[in-house]
Amino acid sequence: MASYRQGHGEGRFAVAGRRLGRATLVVIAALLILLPIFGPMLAPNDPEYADILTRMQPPSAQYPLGTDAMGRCLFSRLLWGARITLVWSAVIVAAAASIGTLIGLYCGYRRGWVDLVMMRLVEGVSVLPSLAIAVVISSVLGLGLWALVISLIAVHWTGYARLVRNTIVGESGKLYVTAARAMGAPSSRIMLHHLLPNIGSPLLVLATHSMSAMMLSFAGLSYLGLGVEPGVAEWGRIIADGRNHMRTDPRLVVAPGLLIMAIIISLNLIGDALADLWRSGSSIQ
Amino acid sequence: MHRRTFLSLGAALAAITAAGFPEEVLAKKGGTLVVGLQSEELPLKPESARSRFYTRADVCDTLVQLDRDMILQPGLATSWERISKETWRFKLREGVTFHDGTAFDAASVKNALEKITALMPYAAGLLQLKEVRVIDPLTVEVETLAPFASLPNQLTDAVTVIHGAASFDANGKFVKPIGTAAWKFVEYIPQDRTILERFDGYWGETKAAFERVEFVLIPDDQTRVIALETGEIDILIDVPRGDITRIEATEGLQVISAPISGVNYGAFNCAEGRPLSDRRLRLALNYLIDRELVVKAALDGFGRPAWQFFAPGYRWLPQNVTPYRHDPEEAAKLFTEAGYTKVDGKWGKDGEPLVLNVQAYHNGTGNGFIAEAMVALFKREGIDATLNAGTYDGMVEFAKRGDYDIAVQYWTAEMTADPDLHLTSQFKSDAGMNWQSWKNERFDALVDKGRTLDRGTEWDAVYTEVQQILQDDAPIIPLSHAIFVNAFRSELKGLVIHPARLYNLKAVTA
Repeated sequence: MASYRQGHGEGRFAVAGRRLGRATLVVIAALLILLPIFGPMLAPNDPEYADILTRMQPPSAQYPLGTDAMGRCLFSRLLWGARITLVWSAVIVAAAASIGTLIGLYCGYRRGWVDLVMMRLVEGVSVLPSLAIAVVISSVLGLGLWALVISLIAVHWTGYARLVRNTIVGESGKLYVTAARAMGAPSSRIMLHHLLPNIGSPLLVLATHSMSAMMLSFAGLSYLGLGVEPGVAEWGRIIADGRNHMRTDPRLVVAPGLLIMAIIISLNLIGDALADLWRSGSSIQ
Repeated sequence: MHRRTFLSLGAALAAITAAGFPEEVLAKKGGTLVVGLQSEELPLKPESARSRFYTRADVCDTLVQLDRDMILQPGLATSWERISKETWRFKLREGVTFHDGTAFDAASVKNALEKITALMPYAAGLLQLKEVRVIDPLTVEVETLAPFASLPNQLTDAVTVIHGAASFDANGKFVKPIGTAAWKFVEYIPQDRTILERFDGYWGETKAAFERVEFVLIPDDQTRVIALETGEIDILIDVPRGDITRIEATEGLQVISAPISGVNYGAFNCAEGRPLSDRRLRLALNYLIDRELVVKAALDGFGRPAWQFFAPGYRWLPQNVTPYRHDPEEAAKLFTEAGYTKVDGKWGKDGEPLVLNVQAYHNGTGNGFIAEAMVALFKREGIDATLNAGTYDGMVEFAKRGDYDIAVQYWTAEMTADPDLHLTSQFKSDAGMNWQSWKNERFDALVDKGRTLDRGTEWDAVYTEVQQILQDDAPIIPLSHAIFVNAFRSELKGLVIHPARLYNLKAVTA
């Protein structure tokens, strides 16, 4: 039974299988990173060039996934869309992670009333449905990519703040922190040079996982018409454009839908693999 | 078992055996007709927009009505005549009662018109009232600020409906619609539905067959279609273009479509310093864009390519106007004359590429898609453009700030079978909705003159020239004349399309 064969009891094939799995994940991860860079180069057509005379064409040599209602190449739009959806999701995750980490570090190390207030705020934001808040924020800020980016950062920093804060609370009591403090290191140095490196792994795991959530939110909001301009090749937007013909030509929503699904599953798998790595690493320590 | 329940069950059974499945569905709903709409009807807010709810839904009546050929017909007024340049006299219909049981008479007309013009600047601009005089219980005289020949036409507009006295509170604020037409207002549930009930005291010949009507708000196009397919709604207003042929082929469902009053057009920002302050450029864009392609891409062909502001073919409007045509060579010539050159396939001037900022909004007429198709065609022809499509209010905000080059919008230009309303409210240089900074003195003078004239050769000459100025000075790019597409369950009979987008549900039977 597989469940008894964990750790040292694992068979040779299982180990090989898992390594192969890991290798596959690395390849997928590499492809994901490369998609925004090389995707546009692979695109056979201009993603925004609309030739209405060739609208709603089925897949062909010239248009690998056919054309949409405006006569644009669906395949090229999906490849170009990687640049917007993936890159912006990464930017939002990075920004949310940075803000959350700094707040979490400060609160976890200093504690006191700032911690008390910030954590209540974190809880407050966390219990509300993030997509709904993002809709509210971006409707206040007006339409556009920046409103979308800001609203998503505003609802996604809390997870990092809480994770970092709780980890730091645990770390602060450890010997190396006491030692650093005894040597007269200023708080900022302790936080950034001693504590921060020790929370890198859980942060990376959380970031990878939230990357997939972010892509869904990003695509979801632009599907609702809150993000990018009409006509721009962005995955959520492409689905929104396609839904008007989805009953007659499902290809227009199925293709981008499958692509988003595949990427989100791979991101989650990578996140799980990183989490495993981190856990095995921390148990050795 | 109660006697009543037993009886109603029996009635339902009889209905099923008599006519089969459809009756059963309707019986379950208790004789309610459910209509799915893309945008909300606002029965309590006449002032919010040009709310057409009151006439569309047959809750209130206007003094004058338009038939399906857009010919004036008696409404609450049975006849009217112009007794002086500024004064019209209306003879009122006898024996009409409001939904609250009060009698309709000359005093109600005076009260309703005065209240509504005080409440809404739009209504005041529309009617130009100076005074409404009660001559006898069934005669009123309406005096306008200036000679106003198209007053009877203006009185077909939904905002001029005659509300009962109790529709307003003591401060003149609108409370709820109390009309004289086939359906009584019952309830409005914000962001959900508006419920009406048959009014048995209706004066008209057509008595409603259904007991109730519910207008249900279902903004998402696909959800609205599914609601029709599952029987949740009986009538679908504004069928999404991509689904029309599929619904037509679905058993048990039918599609009805016809041209109606309405045009989607892009208004050019003609302000000093903007690229489209140059008339040659405005004309060039008009020659450049193939409207056939716009209609095909944005509306799956369910629109009429627009080459002029008012749709051609209306009997009440002079027709000898030169429409635009698709002529890329003429466009290129105009670009060159305006000092533009094409470098690397892109039009530009003095080394700067031309970039147009297009603002639009989404509505049931496919306005957003039309804007998107136009922008796509611009790009194909070497003009760079950005497009922002959100809500109507959002677009107005950009337009008022002057932060745009083209604002794509939809107006029911031919709604009152008279050209005055939209020319004066959209294009006159001092019009409240002229955010385009377009000014043409000759146009202003002609429009002012036109509204004083009775129909005839002089009127024809004025409005021919007015329309031609719009073509030649090109403050807009007309894109598509509306086609209204509705779908319904096949067992319903009597659905028609009225050019003023009236639903006429009182004529619908099962």
